[in-house]
Amino acid sequence: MNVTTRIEIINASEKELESISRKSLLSLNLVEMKAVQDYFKKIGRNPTDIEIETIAQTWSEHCKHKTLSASVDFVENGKRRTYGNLLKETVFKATKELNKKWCISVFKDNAGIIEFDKDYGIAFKVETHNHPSALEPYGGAGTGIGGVIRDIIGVGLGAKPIMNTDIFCFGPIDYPHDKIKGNVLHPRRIMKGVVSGVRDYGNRMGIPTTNGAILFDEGYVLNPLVYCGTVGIIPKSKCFKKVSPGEIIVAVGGKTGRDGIHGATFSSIELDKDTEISAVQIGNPIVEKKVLDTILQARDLGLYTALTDCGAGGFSSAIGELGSECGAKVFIDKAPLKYEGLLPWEIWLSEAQERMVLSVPKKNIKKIVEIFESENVEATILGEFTNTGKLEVFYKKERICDLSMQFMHEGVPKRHLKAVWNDKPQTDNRKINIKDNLGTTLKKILSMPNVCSKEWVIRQYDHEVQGQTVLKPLQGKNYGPGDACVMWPQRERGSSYKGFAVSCGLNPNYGKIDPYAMAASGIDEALRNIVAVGGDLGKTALLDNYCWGSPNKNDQLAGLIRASQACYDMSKIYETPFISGKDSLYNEYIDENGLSKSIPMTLLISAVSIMDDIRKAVTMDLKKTGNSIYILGKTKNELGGSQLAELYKTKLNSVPRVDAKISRKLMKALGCAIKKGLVESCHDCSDGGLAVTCAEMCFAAGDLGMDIEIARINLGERIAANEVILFSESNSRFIVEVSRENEKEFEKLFKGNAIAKIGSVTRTGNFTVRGLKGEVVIDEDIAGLQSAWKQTLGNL
Amino acid sequence: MQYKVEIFNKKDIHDGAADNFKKDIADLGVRSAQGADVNSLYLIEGNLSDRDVIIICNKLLADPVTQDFSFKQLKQSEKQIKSSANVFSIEVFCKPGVTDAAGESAKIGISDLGIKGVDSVRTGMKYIVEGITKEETVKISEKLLANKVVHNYTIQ
Repeated sequence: MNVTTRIEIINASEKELESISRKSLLSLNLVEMKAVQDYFKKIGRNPTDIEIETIAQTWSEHCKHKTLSASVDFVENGKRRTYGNLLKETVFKATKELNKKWCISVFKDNAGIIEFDKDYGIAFKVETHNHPSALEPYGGAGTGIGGVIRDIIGVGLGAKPIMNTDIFCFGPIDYPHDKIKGNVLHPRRIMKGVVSGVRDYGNRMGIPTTNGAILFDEGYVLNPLVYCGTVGIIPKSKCFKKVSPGEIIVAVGGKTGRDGIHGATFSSIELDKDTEISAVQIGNPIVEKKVLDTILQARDLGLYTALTDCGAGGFSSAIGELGSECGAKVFIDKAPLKYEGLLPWEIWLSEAQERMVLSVPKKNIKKIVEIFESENVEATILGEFTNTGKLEVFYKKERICDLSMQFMHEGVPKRHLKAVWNDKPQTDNRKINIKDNLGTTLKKILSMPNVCSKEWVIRQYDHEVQGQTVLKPLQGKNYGPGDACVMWPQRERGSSYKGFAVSCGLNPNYGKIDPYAMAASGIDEALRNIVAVGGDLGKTALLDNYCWGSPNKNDQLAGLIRASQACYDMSKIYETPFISGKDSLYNEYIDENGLSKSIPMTLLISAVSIMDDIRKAVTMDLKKTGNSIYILGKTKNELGGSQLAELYKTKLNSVPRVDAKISRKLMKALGCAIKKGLVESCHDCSDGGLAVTCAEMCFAAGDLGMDIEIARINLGERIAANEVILFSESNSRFIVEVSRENEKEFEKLFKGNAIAKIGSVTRTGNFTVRGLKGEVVIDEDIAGLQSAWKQTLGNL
Repeated sequence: MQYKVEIFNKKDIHDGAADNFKKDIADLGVRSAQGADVNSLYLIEGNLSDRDVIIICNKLLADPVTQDFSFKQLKQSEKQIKSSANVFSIEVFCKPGVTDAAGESAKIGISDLGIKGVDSVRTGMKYIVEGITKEETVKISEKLLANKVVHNYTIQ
């Protein structure tokens, strides 16, 4: 019996090449197929199925980021700009130029690592698992979080996961059922499945979920987004791996089944309503927990020299990457299987979960296998690393794959792309027709899905396990929404009050107007959240996660370039380097009219910041009657993409911009004030503007109110309407509570910044706002505001 | 031989899963449902006696404080029980080949109890709902309970 099939490719015509790619779900374009054809012409034979699958997987968008590393010819508002390699000349370039010495490992391993203290580093990675979650929300989201946890276990020589962060984008939960066709699942069902998948995997692994966000938009009905992130702690001496020829390839953890075959190439395929593939993966957190525990034991004994996780592409990608600089010989029939009947290429490509691959020196094999056996973790010798520069795979003594590592890893043809961007005209109609009084408007905005309480979700996650969570997702005695979480990792050596904060920022609404503004606002928001809890802007690193439509469409590609350029510009000014990132492109779907649609361009920015003293962390709930309320930053007429514009269905293009130089100065001063203990509470202004921020601070406290005057607010331009000032979403603004005795010192720290005292904390239990003419424009009972905020997702 | 075990809540024990099920049914627009219950199912295959199964249920699968169990040996020629007038039960199992993590853990758990000879354990859910039509039952099954990508379901 033949275990492999030869694919006739050497003599194939262009048409045949395209059809081979399509039929076998290879997701390779004609240029790439021709490069493959040339390679096999040169070595004078046709490839086996396993060889062509290996190449397709290695060259997949998921693994090689062909679009982001393409050269680009870009015409922006009539001006030409060229990039030789988009990613290297934007996101990477900022990190390189900033050259921070506290960045330990950036963009090359499974996660980015920054310095925590003199002995430890902090590793952070965020991944997406969108298509699997659309098909099977529970399994897709569970394996999403399982996968990113393995990225952390597999970074350097292995980090210990200590927290998770999860960000989701769904269709509206009240989307009409009759508009859902075919096998597509309703957004409500996707949401419930995703939340329980993440909950079960994270909770069962014993890792707290302490940060996250949920957004809703019709553009995500057929293609939801599931971002999963994990932070780990790693000894600085264990941050790098090095494979040497002669070392043994050991596979650890779960068995291999037909799960998730073609996951890597599947990520580059458009979803339609009938997509149903074997691409579903099911997770088993108990197995992964045992893998984690045993690997950390083996790490501390120094028993292996390298490891990585089996993610997209399974063994093929894990072993291919580890052996890329030397070579590898693999006996794939040795892999333990869940059931019989798998073809060799299926074993090689399977994305069955909970598997890691290690490189172990021969002398340590006995000891390391003992450790795994002690916890009933399966460990199997699959082969060895060689110095041949070749990837050789055997099945029962027959050599079924023999590829040059260099061709696999460097042979992918570079893409050349072209895009054109023109700014949207500023709309003349900058007025929103508000049909309610401002108190009612505020309540309506608090109830909007993207502003409302996510308590129903947060309460399902364990955010306390491991006992290291200082600031939790819900803050104050009445549970308001915190800006960022603060963690206090316990270490074996050198215990101190050092900790770190994690936050995120994203706003796809702005991206519909200008992706540059979306990226800049996302970065500003993530940094605001960090600074608001007391994080140190000078020691903050960023992660970028792009979820985009097809880069073959001009608007999508142009948006991608704009967003990347913003990442570079902001990163440089804030001096916050990017340390890791990931892109998920081709988030496309076929709508009910048969048209190909892209999801809203969505850039998630995650931030991690080292804090010298977690005791200085500040929450967002008001503390005491009589304290003064300040607003930091200037308010402009920037209602484009805002919640107010969405509520009253008005299209405006005046999207919030960022002046990073001014913002950085302000954030530095605020960081200083918090360090000195001058800030009682602090909350950033984001979705819904400053009125929402103030209301949240009030009801988080429970029994305190606030009285503010709009006329005192610093404006960046002339604005005559109360509602614009209250609901504009200008960036770089904070609301801060300061006690009377600290006012002078506080104000002194902000010299040269735009700050204004706008009111005080009251005991009335009301949120009161006086308008530009001094008249009361909002006077709402905070209990009423809170119930408006809570009712939307209340108890799904 | 194959045993089918059903785990259900004791009377008067609050059942959160059933409450959520009821809510989800209502969210789908099916408002006539009166009672709704959610039970767990285990299909245990291997060389076992009734006594073994009782031990497995008591010590592993059922919480003795809040839950009770029933079981039966499945025979090939067994006829399906006709559903009573307006009570439907929907059973959902993973498709063959889909990893059943809970089933695998249960198998390990059984062998840890000292009971050998179990070949496989598959887990599933049984949803019982009263007062709705057959069409509504199909709708609930497909829109709520079973995902065709990974699950098979049967209605009785």
